Amino acid sequence: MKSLLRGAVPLVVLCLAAAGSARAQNSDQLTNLSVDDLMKVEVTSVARRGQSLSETPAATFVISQEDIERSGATSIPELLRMVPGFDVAQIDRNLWAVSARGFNSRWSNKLLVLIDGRTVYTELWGGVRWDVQDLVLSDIERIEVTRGPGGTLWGANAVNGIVNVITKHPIDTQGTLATASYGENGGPAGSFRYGGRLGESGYFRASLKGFDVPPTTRAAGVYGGNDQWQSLHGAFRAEWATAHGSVNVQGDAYRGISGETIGLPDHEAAVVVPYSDPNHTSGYNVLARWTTTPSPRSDTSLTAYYDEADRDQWLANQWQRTLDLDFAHHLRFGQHDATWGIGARHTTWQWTALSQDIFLPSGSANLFSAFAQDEWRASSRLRLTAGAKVLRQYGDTQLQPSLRALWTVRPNAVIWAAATRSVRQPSEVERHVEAGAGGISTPDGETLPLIVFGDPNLRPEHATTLELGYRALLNPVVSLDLTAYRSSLQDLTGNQPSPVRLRDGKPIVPIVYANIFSGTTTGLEALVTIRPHSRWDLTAAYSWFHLRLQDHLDGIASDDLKSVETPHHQLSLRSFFTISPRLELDASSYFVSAIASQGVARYFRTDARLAWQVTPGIELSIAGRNLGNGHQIEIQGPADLPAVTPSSRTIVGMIQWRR
Amino acid sequence: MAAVRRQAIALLLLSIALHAGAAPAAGEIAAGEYQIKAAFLHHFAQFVEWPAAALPSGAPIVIGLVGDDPFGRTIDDVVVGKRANGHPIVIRHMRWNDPFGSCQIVFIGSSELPHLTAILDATRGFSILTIADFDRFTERGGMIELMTVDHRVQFDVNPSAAAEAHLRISSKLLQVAHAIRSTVEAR
Repeated sequence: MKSLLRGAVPLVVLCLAAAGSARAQNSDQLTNLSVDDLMKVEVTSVARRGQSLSETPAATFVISQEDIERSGATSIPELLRMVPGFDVAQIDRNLWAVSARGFNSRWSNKLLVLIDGRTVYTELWGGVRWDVQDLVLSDIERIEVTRGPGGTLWGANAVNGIVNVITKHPIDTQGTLATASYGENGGPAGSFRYGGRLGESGYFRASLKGFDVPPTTRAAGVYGGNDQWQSLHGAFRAEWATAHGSVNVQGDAYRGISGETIGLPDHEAAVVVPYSDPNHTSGYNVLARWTTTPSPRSDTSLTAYYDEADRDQWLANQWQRTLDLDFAHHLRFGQHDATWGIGARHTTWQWTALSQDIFLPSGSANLFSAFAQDEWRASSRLRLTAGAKVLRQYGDTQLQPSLRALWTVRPNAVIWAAATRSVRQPSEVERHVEAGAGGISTPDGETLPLIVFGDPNLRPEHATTLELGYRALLNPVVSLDLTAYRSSLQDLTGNQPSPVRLRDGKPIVPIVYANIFSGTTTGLEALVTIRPHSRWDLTAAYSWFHLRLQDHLDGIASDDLKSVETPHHQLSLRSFFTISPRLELDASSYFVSAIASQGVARYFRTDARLAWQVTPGIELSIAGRNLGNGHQIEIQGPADLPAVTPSSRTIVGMIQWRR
Repeated sequence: MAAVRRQAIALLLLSIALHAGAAPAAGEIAAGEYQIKAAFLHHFAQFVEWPAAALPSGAPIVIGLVGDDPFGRTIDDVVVGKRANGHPIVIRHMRWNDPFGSCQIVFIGSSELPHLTAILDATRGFSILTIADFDRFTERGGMIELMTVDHRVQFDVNPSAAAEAHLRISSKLLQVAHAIRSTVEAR
């Protein structure tokens, strides 16, 4: 190791020296060129975010179009691995646990995910079904990720983070794009997109994506299996310029299969047996947005969407319909930049249990929200932001205030600080479920069924978070982004075992959802981007996380604690290397420390991609994920429900055609 | 075995480093995106004519970089100390709500997209050449939009927006422009 380090130092110096001389040599040459000649100069690499400094007083990270292309990822959760402080664990081929700053599990419920302003949220359990949020990745312009509470502009679930997926304006997707790919453990996949004009001032695009990812194993067992993933996803977006703004209409429709193996409790035998289910999924959504700019100092947007999601799952056949209306007004006056808005959402759901073990009433809920925020440029160096959001749901009103400050220390360095209160409303499962959870043996040899009950009187979980950040461009080559946080969480929900009682004349052991935990999370997130040469970008990220949880019982609910344990250390290194303007070699490596209570060992993971631009219209690439590891378990649920299927190596070759 | 592998890695790194550091081959100059764009700024300063009231002879051409600066040190390397038609070039870093009256050229960083309308409005009434490198800039009322097409930097021009500001864009620039556009979004 030592000798490698010794070898590496002169190499880095060599790279830096080479980069420096190339720059100096070029600049004089460039200005002496004529405009015609200048237009012929080849761009060796496009600039990345490392060169500019974000002035947002929050822990933000942007996944750019270049990051998306060069990661070789084929799904949004795989893209989120690159975000420092995010915890992404693959459960099987079509299922991921995604969270930020702790509390990761299949049922993660403290993250808000938006796609073009549409909340992707399951009212039933408060989480995100990543398998059906499957866009054509080249339709995405960028993904703006905020770790920590989202402040006042965002919705009810933004306690630990926000993922804001923004798709491209159809003007940027004109023409035809087609891709086809095939590979080991990736199956066949393809996509097609066409973009054209709509009259004088309008543009549209339509995209279609389909794939058939084979299961890890066909046999269901302790290690899962039957986790095939098939999907057909169509999307469109049209946008017109109007006299004082624009109108945007877009939508998606999809149908698929997301197979999984779960452990179903057998009450009589008090054991868990593996059971496979294909999980048929389907849904569609339509969104319309009207943006106006009545004056240079004011703009408004009115958004309406309807979303329907169906799933035939082992638990139950279920659907959810959401109608949402939002209005926002942004105005500037003096040294102020203010935004306010109101929103209303109506959700209905139906749950037809396939097994008598699980019961959840159908129902509906209304959510009303209003927010206001003002950014005040107190001086040329100091900006202060204050805001508050009011949410009303289930007859309960919650206030979420936030205070933020950003101080420009030097032209290329900022310090920011934030204090925020954020709230998560209890989900439908936590409020109303009634589900069998196996059995428990009594000393006299009898087996009593365990039944989980929801509680309609649950209080919302709430968190008070303090954050401190520093961002700097140290020199044209190196930039730094550091965040430290401490969050105090109250009224966290967990399962509380209660005394034996009778149901239908038989004794049962009730387990009731209750606000039984409080705790603190503390962490650090660091991101360093280095550009040793104009053709080479390196990004290193590290996050440290610590959770201290206390239950208000006597340590009985240890399963709850296990299920939210998160790795203490995560380290990643990404390298984008442009060998020549037509040849790119990219690699990312991740180290994730062990999750002791779940029996998940620490692991390394490497993804890589090689792409060759054969002609301006044709690109060939080969991408490998999880190289090196045969079978890797990244997370384990408390009761193996659903069964976790080890991640296997995936290698996919792709051809992309564009004109 | 481990030592052999270490050497192999070191060799690989070395070859990558040497390759990366190699000087551009003759006849094929390659440069970073913003080095090229900085050189374009210099050319635009040369090929645009300001009214004498807006740019007295010998006065500096002030380029205001609004928002996050994507150029970094490259703009100093490429532009600073150079002259355009006898005018020295000065770079100034600005924010979106600063007054732009003292600038001849304003380069709007993509970070300022949310404030674009306000910035363009604030430049109105002055003879300021507006330049940016994000999509649809010319259609939104900007004058010159830089873009990367097939690994080459190209530009679109909106001559009517320039004419409104009493700026004359040389026909040389118009001839080589990637596209000539006009403002689409009515204001």
